[in-house]
Amino acid sequence: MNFDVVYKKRVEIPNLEQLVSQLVHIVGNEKWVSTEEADLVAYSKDYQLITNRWMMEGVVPGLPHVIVWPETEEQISKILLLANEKKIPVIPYGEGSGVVGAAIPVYGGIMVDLKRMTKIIEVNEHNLTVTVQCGANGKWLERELTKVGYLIGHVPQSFYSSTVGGWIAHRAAGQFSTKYGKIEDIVLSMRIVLPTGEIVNTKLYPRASDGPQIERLFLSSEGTLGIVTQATMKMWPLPKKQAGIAFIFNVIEDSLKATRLILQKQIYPAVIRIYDKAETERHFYIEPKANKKVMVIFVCEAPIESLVDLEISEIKNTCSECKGIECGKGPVVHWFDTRFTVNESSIYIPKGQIMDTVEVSCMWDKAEQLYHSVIGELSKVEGILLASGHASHFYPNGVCFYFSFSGVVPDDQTPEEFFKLAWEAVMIGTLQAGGSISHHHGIGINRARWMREEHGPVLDLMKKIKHVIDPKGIMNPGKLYEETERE
Amino acid sequence: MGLLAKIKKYKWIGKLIFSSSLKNTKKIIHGFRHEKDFYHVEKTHVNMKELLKCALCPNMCRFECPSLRVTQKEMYSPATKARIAFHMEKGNLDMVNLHTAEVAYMCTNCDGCRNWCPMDISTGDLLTQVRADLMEREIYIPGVKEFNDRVLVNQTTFVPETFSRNPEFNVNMENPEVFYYMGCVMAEKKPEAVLANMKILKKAGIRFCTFSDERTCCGGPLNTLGFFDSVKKFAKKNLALFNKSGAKIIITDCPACTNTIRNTYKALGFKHKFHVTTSVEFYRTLLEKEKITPSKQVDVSITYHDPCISSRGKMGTVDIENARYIFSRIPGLDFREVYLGGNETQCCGRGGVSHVHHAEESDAIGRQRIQQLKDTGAQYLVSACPACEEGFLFIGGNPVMDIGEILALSLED
Repeated sequence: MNFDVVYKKRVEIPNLEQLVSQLVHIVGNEKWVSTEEADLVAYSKDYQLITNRWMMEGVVPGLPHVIVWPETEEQISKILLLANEKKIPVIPYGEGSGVVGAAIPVYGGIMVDLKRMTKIIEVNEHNLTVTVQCGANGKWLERELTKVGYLIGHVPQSFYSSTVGGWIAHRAAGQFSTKYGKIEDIVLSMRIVLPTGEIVNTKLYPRASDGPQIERLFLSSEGTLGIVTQATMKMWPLPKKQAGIAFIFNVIEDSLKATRLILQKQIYPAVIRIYDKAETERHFYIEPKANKKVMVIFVCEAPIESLVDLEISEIKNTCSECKGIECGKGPVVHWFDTRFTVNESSIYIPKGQIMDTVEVSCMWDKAEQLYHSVIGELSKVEGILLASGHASHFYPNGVCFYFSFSGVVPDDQTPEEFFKLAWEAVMIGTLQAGGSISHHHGIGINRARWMREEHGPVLDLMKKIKHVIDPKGIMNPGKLYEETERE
Repeated sequence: MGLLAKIKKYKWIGKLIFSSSLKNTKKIIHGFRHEKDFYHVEKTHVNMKELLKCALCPNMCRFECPSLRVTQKEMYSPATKARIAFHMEKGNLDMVNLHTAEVAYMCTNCDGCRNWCPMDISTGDLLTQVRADLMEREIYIPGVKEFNDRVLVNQTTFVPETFSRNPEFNVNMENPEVFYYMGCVMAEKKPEAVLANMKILKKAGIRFCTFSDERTCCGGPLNTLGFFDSVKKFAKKNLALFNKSGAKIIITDCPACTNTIRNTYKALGFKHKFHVTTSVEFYRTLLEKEKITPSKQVDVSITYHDPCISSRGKMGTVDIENARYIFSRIPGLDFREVYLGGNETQCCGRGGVSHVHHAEESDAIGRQRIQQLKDTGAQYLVSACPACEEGFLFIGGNPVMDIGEILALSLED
C-alpha cells in the first residue's frame, strides 16, 4: 500500500490480531472481518468532496484498523462492548454518501458496516408504517414498497446511494419533503445499540407526552451516540395524480415571496425549487424564456385528484400576484429527468476545479439577506469562479438554501486550504445573516469548527449528553463536537 | 446531443472563463489541458479517464449492482471497485495481492450500473479492461486461467464434442442464407431449444447451415475475463467458417455470442460484413413477414427474464419489445411481466462467467432473480439467453424454457 494519509493520528491497538479474532468470534465467520488493504482503502473516505481531489493524488483521508460486517443487533452490541472495554473508536458505515466527512475514520478503529442489515421487518397497511433495518438502501426500499403500492416520500439526491441509517444519522431531507416531511417527521420509532452495549427500543406511537423524545436525540447524531439498527417510518399510498408547473421571475426576491405565501396559505407542494439566475442558466438552458431569469418549479401530488388541481390553481394565482410568468411543464420534466444526474465531480475535479455544495437554512425574514450575504462572501474568495444557489426545502416559517461553489486554487494555497476558505465564506455569510450552518447534510468534519457559533452554550449540553451515553468517547470521534485537523 | 444543444448547455462555462481574471483563466485552461496527469499510466488496456470518472462518482448505481447486493461489502460497490482499480493501475495498491485483484472479478458485467449512469459508463467494461491488465501480468484469481486453458483446448466452454455429438445439430442446406450459430451453453444444456430453433427456421423456409462438426466457441466468455488474445483465435476461426458457409446472416440463440461476433470481433480488429442477429430479432421479422404463423394453442403461463445484453443495449441495439411481440402472437399464452423487467432486468448471476470464479456469489444472485420471477406465479420461466437459462436450471426453479421453444410449440408440426 502506497498512500499518504491525511488524518494520521490513529489510536494504538496493541494486539490487533487478538481484536480481529474476537470480532470473528462475534460475527461467526472470518469472511465478515477484514484487515485487507483494499478493504481498508474502500472505507477510507466518504463523499466529502475534497477527498476526491486527494484520491486522484493517491492520498487517503483515514484508514480504519479493521472492518466488521455484523448481521444482528446482538452482534453489534457485542462489538460495541468490546470496543468500549478496549477504548477503540467505532465508526458506523452505511453507503458512504455523506458529504461532510462524518464517516471518515480519523483515528482509525473499527468500521462497523451495516450493509448486511437490510430486512423489511413489517409493512403495516393499517397503520401505514414500514419497519426496516438501517442498512437498507433508499432505492431498494422504494422498489420493495412501490411493488405493494406505497412510498415513504423521502427522496434525497443520495437516494440511490444512501441507507435508512444514514438518513437518520444526518437528519436528512428529501426532494419531496415539503409534502412528506423530513426524516424527523417520518421516523416514528427506532432500535438503537448504545456504546455500552445496551439495546434499546423506543416505543411506537403516533405521538406521546411521556418525557424527552429519545429519537430526536439520535436524529443528526452522526454515529456519535450509538448505532441505530432499525426504524419504523411512515408510508403513504402511491399518489393518484401528480402535476408540475414552472414559473420564471425577474428577481429572486419575488420568487421567495411567492413560495412563502404559498406555504403560508397551507399549500404544501411535494417539490419546490428556486434556482437563482446562474443556476437557471446552467440547468434550464433548454428553456428560451429562462434567460437571465429565476426559475421556480413546483410538483404537486396527492391521492385525491381535485386536491392537486386546487394546489396548482393556488400556486398559479400566487405566483402571478408576485410577478411570476408561467413557464409550462417543460422545466419540471427536465428536472425529473436530471435530478439524479450527479456528474460534476467526475467531470470537473480532474480538470483542477475545487468544488462543493453547502446547504444552510434560515427563517423567512432572513432569506433574502442570507442569499446575498453568502453569494457576496463566496465571490470575495480568491480563485472562486462560480458562486450560485438554489432553494430546495421550504417551510411556512423558513427556507433552505443550497449553495454551490467552484474555483481554481491560488498559487499560495493548497487545494484543501482553498476548499476551507470557500467553506468559511459560506459559513460566515450564513451566520452573519442569522442563518443556521446546516440544513440536511450534517456537521461531520467540515462544519465542526462552527458548532460553537451555531449553538453557544447548547454545545456544552450536547457534549454532556454525549459523555453520559458514550463515557469513553468511542463513537465516531473527531466529528460534530470537536474540530479535526490534518496532521 | 447536437452541436447547437451542446453550445447552449455549456455556454455558462464559456462565460465563466471569459469573465474571469487572466490569472484564473490561465489556471482553468491549465486544468483542462493537464487533466491527463491525474490518470495517465503507461501500458494499460484500461480507459483510465473513464475509470477515474467512475471512481469519483457518488456511486449512484450501487443499488443495482448484483455483486454488491450479495457480497454486502463496500469494496464491491461499483464506484469503489473503480476506485480500487484506479489505485491498482496507478501502483498505489499492489495488483499481486489477490484480495485486491479480486475487485476486478466481483462483477457480472450485467451493465446495471450503466443503465443508471449519467455518464454512460459501464463499470463492468472497465473492470474487463482491468482483467486484461491482470492477465498480461499473469495475475490470476482461482478458476480463471484454468477456464481459459480449458476453452482453448476443448474449443468450447464445455467438452470438445458439445456441438458434434448430436447428429441432428448438423444441418447444412445448399446455398444457405443463414448460419444458425448455436451457443455452447445452448448446445450442451438445452439441446431441445436448438432443435426448436431449427424447427422454426425450417417452418419459415429458411435455407440454413450449422457446421456443428466444425464449430467452436465464439470466445465471448474469454473476452469478459480479459483474455483478448484467446478471443482473437476464435474470431479468426469463426469468421473463416462463416466465409466458407456462404451465408450472409448469422443468427445466434445467445445474445452474448451476438455481441461477440457483431461487436467484439470488430473491436479486436476483425472487420466483417455479416449481419449478426439474435433469434428473437429474427423471429419477429419472420412473424411480421408472415413466414411463420403461430396457430396452435399454447395454454401455459410464462414470465420472461430479459437478458441484460439484449435489454440494455450492449449489442448496439436495445431489444425489449421483440420478445413481448412474439408472446403476443402465440395463441392462448398467458404472459406475466416480472416486477423488474426490460432495462431494469436483474442479473441472472451467470454474466462475466462469474460461476467459474465466484460460484457462491453467482448462485446467490441467481436465486434472488428466480424468486422475483417465481413471484409472478407463472408456470414457466422463459428467457432468450442460454447462460441465464442454464443458471436458472442449475439453481432450480420453475421449469425453464427458451423463447424458441415456446414459439415452436405454437407452430404446426
